[in-house]
Amino acid sequence: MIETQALGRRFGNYTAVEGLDLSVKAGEVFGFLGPNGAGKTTTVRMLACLIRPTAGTARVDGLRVDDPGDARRIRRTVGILTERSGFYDNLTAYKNLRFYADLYRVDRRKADARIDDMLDAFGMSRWKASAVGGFSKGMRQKLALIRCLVHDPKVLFFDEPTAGLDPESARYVRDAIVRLKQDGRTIFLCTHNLDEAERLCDRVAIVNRRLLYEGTPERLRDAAYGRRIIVRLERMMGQVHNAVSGLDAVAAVEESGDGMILEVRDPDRNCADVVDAIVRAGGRIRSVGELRHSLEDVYMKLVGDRCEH
Amino acid sequence: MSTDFLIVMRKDLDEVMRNRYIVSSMATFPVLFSIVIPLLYLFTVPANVTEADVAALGNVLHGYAGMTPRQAMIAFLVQSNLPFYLLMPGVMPTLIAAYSIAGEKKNGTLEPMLATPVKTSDILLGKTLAAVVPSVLITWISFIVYMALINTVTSRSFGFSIVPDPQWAVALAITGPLIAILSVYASIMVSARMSDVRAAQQVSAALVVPIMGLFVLQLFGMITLSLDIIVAISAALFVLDIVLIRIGTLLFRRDEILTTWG
Ligand SMILES: Nc1ncnc2c1ncn2[C@@H]1O[C@H](COP(=O)(O)OP(=O)(O)O)[C@@H](O)[C@H]1O
Ligand SMILES: [Mg+2]
Repeated sequence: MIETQALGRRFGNYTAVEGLDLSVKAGEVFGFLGPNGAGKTTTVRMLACLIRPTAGTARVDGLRVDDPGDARRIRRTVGILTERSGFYDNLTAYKNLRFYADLYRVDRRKADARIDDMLDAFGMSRWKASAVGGFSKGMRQKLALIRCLVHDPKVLFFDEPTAGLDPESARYVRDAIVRLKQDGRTIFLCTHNLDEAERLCDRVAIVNRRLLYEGTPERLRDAAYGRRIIVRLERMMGQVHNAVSGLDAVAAVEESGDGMILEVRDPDRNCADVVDAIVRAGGRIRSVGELRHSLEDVYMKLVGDRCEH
Repeated sequence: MSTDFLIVMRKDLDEVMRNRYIVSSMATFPVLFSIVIPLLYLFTVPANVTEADVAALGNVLHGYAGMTPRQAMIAFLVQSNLPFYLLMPGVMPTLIAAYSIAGEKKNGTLEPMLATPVKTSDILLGKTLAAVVPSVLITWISFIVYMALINTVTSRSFGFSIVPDPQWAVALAITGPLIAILSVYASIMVSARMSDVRAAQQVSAALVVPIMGLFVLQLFGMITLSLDIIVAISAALFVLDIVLIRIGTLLFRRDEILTTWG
């Protein structure tokens, strides 16, 4: 649904995005993670045909972002929740939404029905005829969600949709993302909230001007750290250490108190052998568990490593 | 031909009407130029204007043969108000245009609008019309009120009525709208770089100087805003407008708006 090839954007002589190769499948929620200034907004703007790439190209729903005719069609196909949820403060919620529906050329009656349905679904019906100027940040974000859906787009770009929201509104927005995925829409979600990415995304990319990683959140963790097994024994013994460190499946052993943290290759297959070896060496096991790093650790490692270079 | 510009225009007008600052600023022009100033003329020209006073104005009054000195003086003042009716369509659009651009920037509404399939040329046309149309209409209505008021008073009190010179027709129908377009494009370009309504003031100031210059020069008899001069000014404005529309259209592109307008 979205493919980029060596996509890049420069501002003067500053390169905001460079050599980006991504592929987002139809119907998936794709997390686009990166620290502030990583080029997330710039990338989304290029994909939604708001700014032009200065290098490479991208396709959205088979259409090229750098072809003017295609760009217009892409704008019709995609919805974007921009970083700032800008509205005309002295116009009502309805008038704001109708303005965008009209620009998307949504049939008048269809637009009115959709707006009513969505205001209702988002618990905003009461505010239909109120000026947006008095709305809270959470209400504005709900309205912004409705706005990016008025033309029933196949692809949605969400640029940090929960940033700066109170927890309740943030949760509301996340639930909405889940529902939109269930509708079969493709969602490109920029965030620097890793927890959010882990919960919502089928796959993630980590960027900092360039692509650092692309894959599932699970694979990302494994790629960065391997999977580790933590074994607690009644008593730590030298023979046990020697027995496990001699195994091919064990990449590293680290003692900690009465236990060991083992880096095991392909643990789903090899964990049983490792436990066998410990038992044969005379070790008495109290517990075996998997030590998982949070996505946050991985992220910090990836982004941090690059910063030092 | 897309009609998307009508959507933008309607939205802009809707916003303008709800903006007290713009509405009250725009209302002061007609009140000032079609009510206050004519009343000032009518009641300050003394009854004892003489041939000598008129002669002091040089040959500017040669077109008022057959009138008494007082009538000639009033008729001359009424006709010489023409630059104010060029000032109105020049200054009023700066308020609307600069506000609409500054407002979109401040509220962060440019990006969602540009995310829709609308052509930037339609946005520009919609915004231009939203500024030009009400300004020109208010100018015309003001002119009608002005002439009606003057003639009611002159025909009652002095027994004569004033028919506007033919150059008024050209000035109102052509020169005014051309000035309005100039001022909209200038305002859009200036407010692209500036974050608030100061843009409007800067463009207005740049327009007020030459137009008031015309008024003063005319009052002192140094020029006569004859039909030829009004037509020549209009031709120059037309060329200037074409150049500004070209530049404005180049600047008003998605990428430029989002990356350089700050
Ligand atoms: N219009 C612009 N002109 C110059 N630099 C820009 C412009 N837009 C973005 N940048 C720079 O590009 C980098 C990436 O910005 P952005 O895409 O907004 O990052 P993110 O959304 O990931 O925080 C930042 O360093 C920013 O300063
Ligand atoms: Mg951003």
